Amino acid sequence: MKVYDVDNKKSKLLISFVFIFMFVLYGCTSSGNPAMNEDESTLLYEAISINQEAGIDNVYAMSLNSNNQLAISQYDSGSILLIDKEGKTIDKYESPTYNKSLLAFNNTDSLYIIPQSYTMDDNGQVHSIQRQLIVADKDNPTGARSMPFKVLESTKEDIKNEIFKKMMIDSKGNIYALKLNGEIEIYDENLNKIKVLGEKQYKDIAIDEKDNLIALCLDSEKSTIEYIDTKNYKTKWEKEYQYSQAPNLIFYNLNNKTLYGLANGVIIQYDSEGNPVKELLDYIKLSALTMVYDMAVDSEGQIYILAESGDRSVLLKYMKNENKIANSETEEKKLVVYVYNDLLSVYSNAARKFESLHKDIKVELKIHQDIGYFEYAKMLNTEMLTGKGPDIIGSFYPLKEYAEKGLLVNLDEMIEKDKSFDINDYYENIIDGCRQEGKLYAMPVNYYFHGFIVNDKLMKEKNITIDNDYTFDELYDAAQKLNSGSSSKEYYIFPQIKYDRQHFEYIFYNDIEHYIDWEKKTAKFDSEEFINLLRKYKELRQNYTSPNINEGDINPNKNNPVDNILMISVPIQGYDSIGILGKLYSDFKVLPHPKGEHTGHRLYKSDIVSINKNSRYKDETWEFIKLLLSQEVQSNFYEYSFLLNKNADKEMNGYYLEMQHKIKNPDNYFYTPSDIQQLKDIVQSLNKLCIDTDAIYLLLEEEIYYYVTSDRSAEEAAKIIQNKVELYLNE
Amino acid sequence: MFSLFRKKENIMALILLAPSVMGLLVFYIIPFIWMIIYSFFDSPINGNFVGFQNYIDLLNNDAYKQAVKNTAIFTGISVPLIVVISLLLSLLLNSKIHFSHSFRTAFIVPLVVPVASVIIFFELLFDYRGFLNSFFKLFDIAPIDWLNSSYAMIAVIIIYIWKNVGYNIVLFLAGLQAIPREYYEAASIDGAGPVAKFFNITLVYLMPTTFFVIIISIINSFKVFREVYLLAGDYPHQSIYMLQHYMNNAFRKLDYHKLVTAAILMTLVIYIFVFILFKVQKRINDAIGN
Repeated sequence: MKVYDVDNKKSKLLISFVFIFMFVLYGCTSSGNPAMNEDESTLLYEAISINQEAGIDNVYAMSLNSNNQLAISQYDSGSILLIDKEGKTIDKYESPTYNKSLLAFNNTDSLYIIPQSYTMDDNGQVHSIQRQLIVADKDNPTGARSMPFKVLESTKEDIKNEIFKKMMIDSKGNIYALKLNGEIEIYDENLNKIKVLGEKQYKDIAIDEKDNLIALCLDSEKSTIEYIDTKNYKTKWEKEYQYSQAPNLIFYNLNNKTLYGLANGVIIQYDSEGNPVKELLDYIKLSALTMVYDMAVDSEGQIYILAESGDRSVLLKYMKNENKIANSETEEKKLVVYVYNDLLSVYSNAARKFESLHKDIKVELKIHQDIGYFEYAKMLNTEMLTGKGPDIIGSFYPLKEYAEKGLLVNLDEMIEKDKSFDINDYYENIIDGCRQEGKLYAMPVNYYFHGFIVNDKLMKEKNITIDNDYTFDELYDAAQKLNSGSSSKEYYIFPQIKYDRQHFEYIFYNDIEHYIDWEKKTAKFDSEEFINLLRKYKELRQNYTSPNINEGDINPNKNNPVDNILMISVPIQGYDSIGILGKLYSDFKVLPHPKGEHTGHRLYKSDIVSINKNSRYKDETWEFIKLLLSQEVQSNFYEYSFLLNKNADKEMNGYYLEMQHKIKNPDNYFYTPSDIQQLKDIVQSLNKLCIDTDAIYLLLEEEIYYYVTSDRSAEEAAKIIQNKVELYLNE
Repeated sequence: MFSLFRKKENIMALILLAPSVMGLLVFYIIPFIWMIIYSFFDSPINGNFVGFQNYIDLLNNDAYKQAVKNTAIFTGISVPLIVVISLLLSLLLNSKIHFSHSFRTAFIVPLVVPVASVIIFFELLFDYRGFLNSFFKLFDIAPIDWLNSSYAMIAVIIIYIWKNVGYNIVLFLAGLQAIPREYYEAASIDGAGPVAKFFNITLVYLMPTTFFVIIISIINSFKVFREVYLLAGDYPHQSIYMLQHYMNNAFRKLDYHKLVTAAILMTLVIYIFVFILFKVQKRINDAIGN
């Protein structure tokens, strides 16, 4: 009996020990994260645009004083306004010379003003900069001291980079000026230059209460904050930040002695050693801004951001609004949008615009660039098949499989229901090219294609005529015609091929519907015509491409020895890409890639969007898609793709045709309306969307690449391809 | 008093087993039952009940038939081959030779080396311009494109045997060392030669181990998919297109109903096969009188 007693006690003890151990383990490993939940803190803030309230136009610079009042200077007006934390104007400093002034308060709230004036000549160069220093004491507003800086002049050199970008004042009245070239110049109160810190490129500066200079240094991947002792200009300490944590603006609040930084759209509070402590605000979730120039955080936690929005600069104030959380607990609609990447924040800005138009709908945009395409597709598959998934699936995804399984909404139905959608506003050939078996499951939001930049001079010399409607055979014949009549090989049709994918698309993939019959599940890759295509491509690649220069080495900004090459295959991502591509040849023409000989298909690529059939808010989702196709949002795509909206297209073309002369970048080729027309003609002939993550695409591409780079024969390669495709079709 | 304690022990046992049982249920048994239900619908989402139509379609599917044929041929050739080879090797290693310990270690190494690293070596070996073909060139034999011709099966068998022979050797060695030496000595006294000893003593007492090795080898023959996939991708040459390729591709194409149907059929076949093997083994054991 006693033995059993002991055993029972032992086992009880053991069990309780195990449980306590597991409990402690769990408790100790949950990380103590002092940062507030990021989403929660962002939700507390509300954005108010100051421009509207105070009636000011284009803001140039701002500075915060110890009473949480903000001084604002403007681009075009000579009024410097002092506004309080409620946004009311308390004071004004006027002078016709006060436009484009830098502002800074010192620790006793005297306002230092430095107006800068400079003129740009016809080439965009600056040869003379004039500055003044005005110190406005708040106790003695009329007795402002004023002193001129030494005028900077240079007859030959462009001194644009000597312009002051920002200035700060320390407690002794020394002026720290950050120039456009990244150097910091330090002047004493009599405007004598005491020091120039020029070893690194500084992006932003701040002063703390002990007169230390806090300087932000930026390079391509990381940023460093340096604490510099201003007595001896030695760096006391520095801290490095990587990638998403790297701030590109900093601000020091003298009242609560805290350093803040702006990193990737998030405003972060740092401790006295530069470690990030708290994330205050993710402004991307609240506002659509393209570039932020300056930021300030007052002692009550209100955040001011001076940024570019469109072509104006706006001053936004973010205030904490406790009522906001209570409001957001009520039922509100939420659209979830998945995209792969968001270049130039086009989708983020569209999401914010949509929210401002529909106050009761929230748009959550998720970007997946860092997980890679195949993980993105896998994640989408799992979510779609469990009946959840986002409301909008964007960028690129397995369109054919989703359409077949009935996971996507038929957009033709949405178009029919919606009387305000006129398909004539958009380039219909691009929309039709996305149809799967005649039905529209995905809407393109932009597009681009690959084409040839052709050496027109050489083409005319050799009497070769190729029009837009040509096929690969004509290209092959042209290659042979180049050296006809001469025994030596002087001319080549292409540079040495590196991007086989581009050539694979216009030789083999554009005719894929001819070689595969999806209904009957048969393929004819072992036919004579396919074998001939393989042979021709291999021959072209080995005998008709220049050994002197490779596709990957061609740089429009440098001199390339391409005068004996007839055509170069390039991606054409928008009308103004001609500005760079036009530099390849002095006399050039743009040709599309040849169309498919049997199917007449000419391929293009797009970001596409689809509506999930399981979405609860299909009509609202359709509205968002229409917003993506609207003139305003489409114009934002201009820099890296062609636009679907005809009006946006016309307007942006006109705007950029003019702008290229105003910006006067001597590196670019100035394109003309006839260049634009060449591209327009090609755009009208595009008729099939190319999805380059398709299983057949990848299969073919791999086998054909192996064939052209090895000694496998064309018949063998064709047979291998045929077997593999048959396996695919039979499954 | 005793029964009371036993009850407490039972409860204690159940509590301690609960996490494992939960894990087994959630990750194994429930998905399996779910899979069986899925196989009666024609689409993973919003599907209609189609009864046994999926099974009928599958058995008529060309790709599936090819996969089954290849898997059966592969298993049918490689399993007997590996059993014989590993038995011979383990007999050798069991006898007194030099460096027997180093050899044993050398045979185990292929099992623990990560697959992805070894694949590079196999690519070099079987490539058109690789080791084997260069070796053939010395003897004026034409080079073979190993993975893209009907010789692909030989390449896969070589990989399979290389990788798994060590495991079987360990099992056989354990079985060999369990046979008491008195039997051999008794047989020597009776005048039996080595061959007679082998067939009458070794093989007989190795029966249980052999059956175990056969089953393990069959299971490992399905695992060879990993190497084949890394070498030849989603759609290899049609002679090495196996069941797992079919299932993997069905998963990628979101054809989950085809995938589960194929998996269930495979489970059934393996179950029947192992069942028969066990029955045979029991019969033989009873006959020996173990």
